[in-house]
Amino acid sequence: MSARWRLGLGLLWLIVALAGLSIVTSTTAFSEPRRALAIESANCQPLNSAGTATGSRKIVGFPFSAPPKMPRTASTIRCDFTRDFATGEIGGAALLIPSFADSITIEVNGERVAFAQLYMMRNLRYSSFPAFAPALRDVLHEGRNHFRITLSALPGHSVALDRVFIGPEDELRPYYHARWFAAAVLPTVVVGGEIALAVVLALIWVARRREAEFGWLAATLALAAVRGSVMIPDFGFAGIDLPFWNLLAVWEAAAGLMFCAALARAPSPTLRLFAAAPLVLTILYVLSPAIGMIPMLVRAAMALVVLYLGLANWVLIRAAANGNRDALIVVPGIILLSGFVLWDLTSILDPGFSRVFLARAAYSGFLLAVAGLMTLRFVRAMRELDSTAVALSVRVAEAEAELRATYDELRARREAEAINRERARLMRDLHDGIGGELASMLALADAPAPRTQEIARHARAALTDMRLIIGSLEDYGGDLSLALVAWRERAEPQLRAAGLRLVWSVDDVPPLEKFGPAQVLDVLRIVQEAVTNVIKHAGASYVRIETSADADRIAVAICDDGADFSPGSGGSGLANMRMRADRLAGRLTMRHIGGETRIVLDLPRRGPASGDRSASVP
Amino acid sequence: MTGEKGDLGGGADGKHRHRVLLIEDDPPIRERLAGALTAHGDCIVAEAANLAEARTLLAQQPPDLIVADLGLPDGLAIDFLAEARERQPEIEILVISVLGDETTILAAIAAGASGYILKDALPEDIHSTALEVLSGGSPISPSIARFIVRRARGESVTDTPVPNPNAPSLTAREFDILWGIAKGLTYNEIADRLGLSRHTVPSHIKAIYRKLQVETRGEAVYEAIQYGLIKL
Repeated sequence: MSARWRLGLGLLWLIVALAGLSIVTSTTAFSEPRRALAIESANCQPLNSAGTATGSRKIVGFPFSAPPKMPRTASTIRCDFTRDFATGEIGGAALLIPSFADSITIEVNGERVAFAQLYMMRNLRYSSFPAFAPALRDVLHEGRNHFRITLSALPGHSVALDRVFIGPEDELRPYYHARWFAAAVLPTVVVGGEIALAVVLALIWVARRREAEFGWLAATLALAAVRGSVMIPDFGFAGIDLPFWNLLAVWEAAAGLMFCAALARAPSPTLRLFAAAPLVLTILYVLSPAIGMIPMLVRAAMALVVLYLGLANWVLIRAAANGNRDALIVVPGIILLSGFVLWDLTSILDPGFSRVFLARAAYSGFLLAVAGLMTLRFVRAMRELDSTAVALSVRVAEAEAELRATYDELRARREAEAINRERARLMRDLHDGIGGELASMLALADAPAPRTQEIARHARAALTDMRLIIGSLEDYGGDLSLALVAWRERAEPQLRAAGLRLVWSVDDVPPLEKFGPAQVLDVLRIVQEAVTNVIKHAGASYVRIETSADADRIAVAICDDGADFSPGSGGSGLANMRMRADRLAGRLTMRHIGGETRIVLDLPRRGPASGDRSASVP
Repeated sequence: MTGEKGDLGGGADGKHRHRVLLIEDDPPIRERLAGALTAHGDCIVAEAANLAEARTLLAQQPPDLIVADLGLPDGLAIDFLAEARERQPEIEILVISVLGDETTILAAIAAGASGYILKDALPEDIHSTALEVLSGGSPISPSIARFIVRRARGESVTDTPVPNPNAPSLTAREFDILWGIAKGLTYNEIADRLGLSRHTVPSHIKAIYRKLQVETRGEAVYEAIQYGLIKL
């Protein structure tokens, strides 16, 4: 099922629910007992405030409503009618008046059986209530009975009376309950719902400021709740029978309009201007010096409400037509609400007999639509979140795999490079040392008169070099003194054979960084070369190896008491040593002080700045 | 069998002469080593070119010292040396090595040797090393000491990255002694630093060797040598 179909089906359900709700509400509110029980007319006569008749009696058909004759005086009207009762009817007889205005007194055979007044309970909701007089058996008697209904209205109000039903109590009571439910209970229940929903929406809005529609809806609902609550005091604007809070309807409509605009993503400045209008009206209301202006203001407020509702409908429908699904879902709700609001307004404007306001009840329908919208949004958000999570995890996995592949490749390449470099180094070392010695040995052995002493010398040199290479491959952990000690093991017999004393002044030195086989070999070869030079040329009696260290350098010194080591005597050897020192980022110096030749290799503790680093990894 | 060189028997001058069994398959080297050992007249050297000859000589007359190359034409000398030591616990062993590298050291320790002699060592050095061993010394070199320390600490001396479960259980004192040797200190210096008598240092080293001989035989490298994966 495609998303379009799902939306259509959901919308259909919503419309069905809303239509059902409006039908149930209307029939509940306006259903009447069977017509056979109704008193269709009565003999009525207007009275003055003192209770004396001011006009002639005439037959008035029910229901009726009489606009006030004069705006400043209260109007009263008295209606009489009779009804015959059989003996069996008296027991369960009751009287029901579905609605009236403003107060009513019911007398049967001269006995008062009921008194009701709309404003007794500060009827802030401005609606009319039913009147019910059960258990009439004590005042009724067999045959003809006299009924008198006296109606009175506050100054400026209409007197109104619905049909009067007299019949079995069991039959009439459900109608009374239904009417009471629609006029009094339902609005109260809806107010509770409005408060709860206003709080929830306000919380949502606080958490998600950019979704302004929730904020506006919360405001709308809060205003509706305040307007509908009978418990809120009137702040001393008494004296006017239309409570101040009813003016909030305009604010409410304005907030509702803003909600629709936000939902339709059309919060234009013009709409904001419209929303500012209630302020003017309220100021006028509060400052209004003349009571007479109030009805005018109320009418203006009603006009504004109608205007706002119309605008809201227009904005939403236009957005829905442009493919805004949110608007599409709310449209049925707002149309339903608009219908009921119009109905209510006409019942205020028309001084009719019945004022059961249904807009508030229809509000639940509107809220149903909004709840549908919110659910849809929630579901959509969850789905988005899910798909985002899935997409994210997929992408993370991809990135991870890619990274791993790259890393593996890199590592393999690094390893290959390291191996190649190490191989190249070993080749070079073997070529420089052993290779040369072996070649010399071969040449000497092939000579017509083999020079065995020289062959032995070269063989020794080759072995020494090979041991140097092997020794350099060991892991000294950067400890130069350990490497030197290992060298000493091999070099000492050699020196002894040459009649030289080895003076060992190697102290512990801090470890060198990046001091791997290549570096060890370079250092050892420098030392070996220096010592070999001493053996060959210097005619010394001792060789002293020293180490010293400061904060960032480590020095190895090879000292002897032989002849001055002139640069010319060991040219290529010295160049070799310098080259190795450079490779180590070190410095090689040679001095002749106080009868002692001193070759010093100065090494940075941080190791060679760059170059073949991997070769330094053991 | 190449027989014995040097004076036969107890020696005409009454000095005690050490019996040395030299096992080396390369004749020039064997001759050179034998020459170096007999030069001072205090050693009688029996020479063998392979294990079979060595077995015969060992059966004929138990030597005080065996100087052996590990890789011989008829096999590795390791087991033979271990057998000899088992039969005659006071026997001393030196291994002949070309390079004195880690593998040789390990194999030498496994064979129960107290040290090694380089094939090209100076004759005086060969002789003095032999005598040091014979007089109860342990000519441990800095390389061997460092090798043992690293192995005992579980650091890999080969390519096995896991800590060695067979790493010898050396005492702190033994570690200190080994470290001193690795650092190139003399026995005297070590004894001074550790507050020991100079004469106890060699016996400590002997103890270390004994411990190691047992434990080295569990080494992967040792097995690799046994199976010929690593050539000696």
